[in-house]
Amino acid sequence: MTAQSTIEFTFAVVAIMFLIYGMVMMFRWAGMDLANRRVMQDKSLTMTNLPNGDPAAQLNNDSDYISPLGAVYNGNITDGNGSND
Amino acid sequence: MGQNGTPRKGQATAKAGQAATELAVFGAILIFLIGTIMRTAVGNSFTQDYNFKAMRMAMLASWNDTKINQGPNASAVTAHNSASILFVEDRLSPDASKYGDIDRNPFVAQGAGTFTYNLLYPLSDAQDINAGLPVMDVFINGVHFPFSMSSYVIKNEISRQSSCPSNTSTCAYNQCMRNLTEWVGGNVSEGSFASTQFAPVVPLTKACAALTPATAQKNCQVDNNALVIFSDLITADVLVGTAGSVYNSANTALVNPSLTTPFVDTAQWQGFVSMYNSSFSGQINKSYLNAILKVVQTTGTQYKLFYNIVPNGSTDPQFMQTAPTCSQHPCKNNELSADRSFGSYAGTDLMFDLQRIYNPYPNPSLVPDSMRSSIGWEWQATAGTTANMIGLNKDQQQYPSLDIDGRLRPVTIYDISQAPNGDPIVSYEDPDGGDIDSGWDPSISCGPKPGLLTGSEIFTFTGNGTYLQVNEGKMFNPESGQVVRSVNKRDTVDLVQRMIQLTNNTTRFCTPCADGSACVQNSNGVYACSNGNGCVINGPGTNLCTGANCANPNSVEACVSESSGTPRPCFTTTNMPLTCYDTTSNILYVRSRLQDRRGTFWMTNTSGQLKVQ
Repeated sequence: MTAQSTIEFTFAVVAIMFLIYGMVMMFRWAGMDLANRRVMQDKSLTMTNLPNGDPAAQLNNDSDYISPLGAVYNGNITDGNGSND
Repeated sequence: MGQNGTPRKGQATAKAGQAATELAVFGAILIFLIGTIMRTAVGNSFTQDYNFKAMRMAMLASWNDTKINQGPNASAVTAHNSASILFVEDRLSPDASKYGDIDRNPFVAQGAGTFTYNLLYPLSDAQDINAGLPVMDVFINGVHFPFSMSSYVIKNEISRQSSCPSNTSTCAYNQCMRNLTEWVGGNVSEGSFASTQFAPVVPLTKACAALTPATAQKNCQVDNNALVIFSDLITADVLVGTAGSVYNSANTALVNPSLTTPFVDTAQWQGFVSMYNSSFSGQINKSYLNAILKVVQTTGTQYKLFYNIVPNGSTDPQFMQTAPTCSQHPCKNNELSADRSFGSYAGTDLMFDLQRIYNPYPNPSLVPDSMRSSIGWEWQATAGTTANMIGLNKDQQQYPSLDIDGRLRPVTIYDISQAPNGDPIVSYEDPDGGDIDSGWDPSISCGPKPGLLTGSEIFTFTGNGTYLQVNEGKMFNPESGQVVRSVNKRDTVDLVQRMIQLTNNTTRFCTPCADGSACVQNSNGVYACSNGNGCVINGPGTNLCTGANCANPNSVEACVSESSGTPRPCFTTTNMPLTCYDTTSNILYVRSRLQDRRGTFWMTNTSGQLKVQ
């Protein structure tokens, strides 16, 4: 009985740890995604190295950046910038 | 437990089941939290992304219109000087349904920006007006709708109507009456009205006849072509005409024998009363003689009064007690009073702190005497006859904004001329004449409020060209006041419909007949223009504007000109999936085909760079 409970508890703890890890990463991503996009935009708007001197490059740099979620592992499956349909 | 402390049969299994249940429940809660956080965060991510994009896109549109049109001789494009971008999106929301995401996360993002060399570049008759008028760009699920925010009216003759139709709305009638009455004559002279008894503020040269006790009226005739200026609020019975009491200028003979019935005008007058070309020529109630500042007798060319709104510069509750002393009307620039009550800039002739007549008729909102010094703004009038009189100076890039036709909406005037004995001819930019009136005001605008209407409807395709409206989750519609009795539940959405109320049919999306008339159904059931030529309405692709003066791009797919019928023309089997413009009600039904597998569906292009055509 004790062994069974220990095994079940261990299994539950491991599973819960994964879930909590995922939730923590989700919290982190929710904030980091907004912050990173803000930083990217500010960096674009304040860039001084303008191609051909055209300030349109400050506005049209395609900075639709989406931070990688990384709730499972911080890999490259979605390249961190996949479709956002 | 048994009596000896040993577990009963099955008890150990129950403990194991308890642990698994706890794990399942707790895990389910965590997974639910993760899912909720993810869906919310993704929605926030989309919203932030489009808020940023809207601002950058607006500034980019402003810049792109400028960079190719620089220099003094360039043909500037001022359409996006102050660019405004509105995104309406229905983006997918993370879901775990069998066939992928079907839930949509609707949101609206708007941005505006100015990044231009042409901020003060004026319009002119010579330039491509359609490229120079301000445009608001609306993107609904990636489809572009450019709405003009004003119109440019070239050489419009401001003529005086003889009467106003009574079958129009009160708002339109009031506008017409203002436009009809706010005129003054050309060759005018002051002071043809005098009374020692009432001692008018302005010494007048012409004596009145003796007081008639029986009628309690003063026998001071007012000629047809007269402008009477009052210093005080006049509430009733100002103008009283009695049969046989209309005299000539020498006060010796009747000049209008046709006035044979008693006439009492009970309208509430204030500020001034213009009687130019009026059918009335009679007397003024003696009770109000001391309120008369001036009577301006007018003959010859008539002048339309143009108005603008200026701050109230006076602290005197009766500040209209000082009338300008002019050698002619309108006053010369150097004859204007120094105090603000009668003009603060060159060309000003008259100023009134109260609302103008017929606003609204017949019960204007009156400002009590004690409150006049407290009001912040007042109408200021000047004669719309020459550029100098209205403060128009092309060399100095000064283009005045004045209400020219009684709509209480100032327009930006770019040119004005008036031939002797003719009407003023004005070229101006009208902020009320575009697809959307950005300055819509419920107190002065006659049409419905323009813009994106609240509420959207969703439809699903059920076969044989039938679309089923999906009403789910809302049993009571506060807009219509109706309770939805039938709730249809489906898990697919093919169309999302949004409605945009436009101010005018500018023909930038749907064109009328070639001769400019409407395409209407005659008694024989045939659709025809006014010249008899046949025309086709209520169908996809018909009457769509495709020329150089059309909206670019023109994303409307069907034009109809009738709002009635069952089903309504925009809701027929053919037009249902199409973006449809009803030119009668000026409502644009925008249908986003999101999941329609049978045709082209709408999807925002998220690749590439920002672009506004």
